[in-house]
Amino acid sequence: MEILFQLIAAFIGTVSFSILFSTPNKYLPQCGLVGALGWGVHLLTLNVTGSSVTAIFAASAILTIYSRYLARFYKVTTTLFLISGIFTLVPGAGIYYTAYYTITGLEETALYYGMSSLKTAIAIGLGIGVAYSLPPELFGWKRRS
Amino acid sequence: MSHEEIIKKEKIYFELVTRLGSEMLENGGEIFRTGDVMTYAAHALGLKDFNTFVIANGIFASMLTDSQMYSCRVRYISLSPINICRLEALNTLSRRIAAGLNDPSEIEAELDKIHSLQSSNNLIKIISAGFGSGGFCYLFGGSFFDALTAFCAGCILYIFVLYLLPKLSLPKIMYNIAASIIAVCACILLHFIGLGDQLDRITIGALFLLVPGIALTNSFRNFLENDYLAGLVRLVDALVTAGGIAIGVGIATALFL
Repeated sequence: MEILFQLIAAFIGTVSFSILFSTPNKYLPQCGLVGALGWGVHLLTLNVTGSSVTAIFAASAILTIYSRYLARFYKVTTTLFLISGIFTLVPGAGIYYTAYYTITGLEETALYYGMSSLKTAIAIGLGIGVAYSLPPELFGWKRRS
Repeated sequence: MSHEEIIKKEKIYFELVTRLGSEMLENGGEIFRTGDVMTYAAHALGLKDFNTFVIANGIFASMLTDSQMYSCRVRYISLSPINICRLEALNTLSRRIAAGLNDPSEIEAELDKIHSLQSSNNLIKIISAGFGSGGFCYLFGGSFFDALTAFCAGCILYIFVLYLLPKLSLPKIMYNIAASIIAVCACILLHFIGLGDQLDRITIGALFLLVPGIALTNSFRNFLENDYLAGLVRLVDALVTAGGIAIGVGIATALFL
């Protein structure tokens, strides 16, 4: 039940931030689904492996694949779904805590949050990179001559 | 077509291509995609030896004019918020150019139209800012009441962000400090009158509207895509933004708690 609420919260959060990023209205539900899928995969992988970085990596790779599929389906750019979709995973809170603990003088806590945000950002970047490396033919695009 | 006319046409096309690129970058387009779009458009419009170098806040482009001289154009682009509907419209336009659209006045009219494109009005933005804060507050372990409080705080913050802060025309770091002071004050006030339980969860929900999570992620994506300069620019921008927010939170907490 708790997981269902979390997925709903991820959906609502993603749709809201899609609106703030001026996503065209007709794609909002799809953006929300991408965000909820990302968070779902994140929760599942975190549960199975217990590693936060692996979970973030898997979630961002899978949501990028889904974004690419949607982009092909609606004939738009992948970025449209991707930017809103990764919003549930980005280390927004982490980078804030890092800065906050730095200025309040708790350097060790700051370092911990800093490293974890860094790892999260790299994991997302790698996940997206892996998913982008899949051949476009998998998604039905014709190779540009 | 006479000699002068050809040169004039090349100049107009060159301007349009660099403008297409800078609009794309300004609204949050990826670095490599912006470069690709400009190169394809230049190719479709028949510009010779077109080359471009794109970083997060600038575009450098050059081409061969009149088969004997190189023209160069440098454009500075300020780091600004992502706007996906403009990005999508620009993408459609670039596809049309690649498919053969080459009337300069039509391309320019289209670019002008895209420049002021908006997908929703301010009221919807304020409400969705609230929902975004509430949703992320819940994801970060807040209860339903905390999420509700974060909803109110997010709405209050965005009213200030949309109506008051643009009028002050503050430098970026001051803007972030001011916005986070407002966010934290709103949270503390709402908590004080009895809404919500965990103040730090509510605060992080509201601050999620300001934190540079996407900027940091994009910066690392740029590193992994070999755009090191663009990545550095975005990384420093993200750190400065986060620092500003932290200072704002520090000030607000020192004042009220």
